Amino acid sequence: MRTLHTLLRLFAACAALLAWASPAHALPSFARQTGQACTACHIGAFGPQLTPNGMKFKIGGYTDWDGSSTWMPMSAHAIAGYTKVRGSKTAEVDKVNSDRLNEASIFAAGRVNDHIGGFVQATWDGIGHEWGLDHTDLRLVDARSVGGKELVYGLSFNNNPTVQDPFNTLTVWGFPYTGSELAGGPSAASLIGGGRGLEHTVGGLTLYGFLDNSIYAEVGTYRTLAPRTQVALGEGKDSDPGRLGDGTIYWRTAYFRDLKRQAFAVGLFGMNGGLHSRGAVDPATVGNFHDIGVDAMYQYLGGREHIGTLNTSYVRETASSQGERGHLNEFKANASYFYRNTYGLSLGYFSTTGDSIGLYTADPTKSPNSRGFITELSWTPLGKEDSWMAPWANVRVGLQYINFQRLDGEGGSYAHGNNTLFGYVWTAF
Amino acid sequence: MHFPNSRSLAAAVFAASALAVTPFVAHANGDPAKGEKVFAGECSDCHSLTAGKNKKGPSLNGVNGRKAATVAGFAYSDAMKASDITWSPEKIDAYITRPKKVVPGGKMKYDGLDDEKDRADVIAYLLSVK
Repeated sequence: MRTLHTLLRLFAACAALLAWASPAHALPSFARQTGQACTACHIGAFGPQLTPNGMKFKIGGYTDWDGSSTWMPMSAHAIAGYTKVRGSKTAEVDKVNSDRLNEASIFAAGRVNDHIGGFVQATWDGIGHEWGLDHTDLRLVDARSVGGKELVYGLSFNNNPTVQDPFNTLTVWGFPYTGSELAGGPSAASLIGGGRGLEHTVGGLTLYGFLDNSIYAEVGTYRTLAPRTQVALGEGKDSDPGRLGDGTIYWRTAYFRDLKRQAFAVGLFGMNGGLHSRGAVDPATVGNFHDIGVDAMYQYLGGREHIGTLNTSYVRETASSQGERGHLNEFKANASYFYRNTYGLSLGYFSTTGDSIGLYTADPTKSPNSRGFITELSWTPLGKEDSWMAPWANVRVGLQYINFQRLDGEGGSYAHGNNTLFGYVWTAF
Repeated sequence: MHFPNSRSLAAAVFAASALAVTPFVAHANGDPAKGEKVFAGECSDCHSLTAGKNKKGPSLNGVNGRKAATVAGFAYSDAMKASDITWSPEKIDAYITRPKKVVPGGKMKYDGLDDEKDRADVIAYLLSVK
């Protein structure tokens, strides 16, 4: 335990180092650091969906550079949007039909040297009107030859399971890549799927390796931060998910092929952990969780004129709490098409099914089942090598619609009443 | 034991010679328009064709005839600096076929382009860009 606390202190020190190393007069980003256009690392020139090049940049600890940039990247982004929930014409629902700043973030992001890199994100919540520590991923990396093959290996200190994953199939970086803070969604989710509130309330350390640009393996563990630390980092007083047990394990394997004009990956992943009640944490929300999943992705990149992607994942959770035992199944699939990294259409499907136990539903007469579709249109005019103010100015304008066929065990007007239209402007600089 | 007659031997020598010079012929017959697409898919993430614009790799503007490791502002590997290469279509062809074979210890993270026609096209495209 002492070792873990030492690591968490190291985590905080690295975050401080990244922030300290960022001169206030510069606003470089990863694109500035590498000299590359956004399109080199991001499908559609924007957002978190990574190209093979972007995946390798991440695995390499965000340390690649053009050999001449001399400052630590600082970046910022903001998402403003209009949210329209179909609703049931009640005053409560009408309140969320609004246009407002969804969120704004600043990042200390980039390399410290050839072996240390990462990013720390602080976000202003436009709904809750408060700052907090958002996604954080700090890396220590190296590479060596093993049997004539290159092995990139490293450590990731992070604050959210799957934030460190290089593929866009798992929870944190999966589709949709943005959404309204006001939109509804399934109440039940797996431990690895974000259902137990580990996001930004934990500190994790994982060891990973990437052999011959094809075989990826990662294993690590997480611990929940002390409640007072969570509050200090911007989490709410009621955000504590409980204490994660010492045996918490996160693991991930994948086989990846980068064929330059197309790429694919298939993988397995999982997380086992026991959450224990402490303080004001409701004992009904804690238990033991065993998650295992499978995922796959395919990208057609061609000459970057027509780009198509497919992502899918399936998670099977076995959970037990207070004498109850049950399962939860999560399936997600999405496809996207981008023309010249500018005009995008994405379609997604999600499904959650499970047992009616206390961990998944507050009402034992209802199932936790949800399913629906997400459609998104986007326009990303900048972010290419020859774009105006590249790579400083970036913007995406999008329209997203979530159509619930079933939500928390209910269909009909309840599910459809949560259908959400979200029009947004997403800027990054 | 069977010995080929002189005509067969001449044909074999001609065929071998043709194979040996294939890269030279290939890049001469490359299609710049197709090469632009190959460049977009294989090279453009890390290389620009704009003079003075370095990415993770140096600008390839005017690469033909240039001595290796001489683009200003780019941090080359020691291996590339020591390579003593002057880039010609033949050298480019060999390099992009197997970068690590031509410059062991170089830092370009690229396995190589196996398709001979793609190499010819992309080299033709590189030569066409002024």
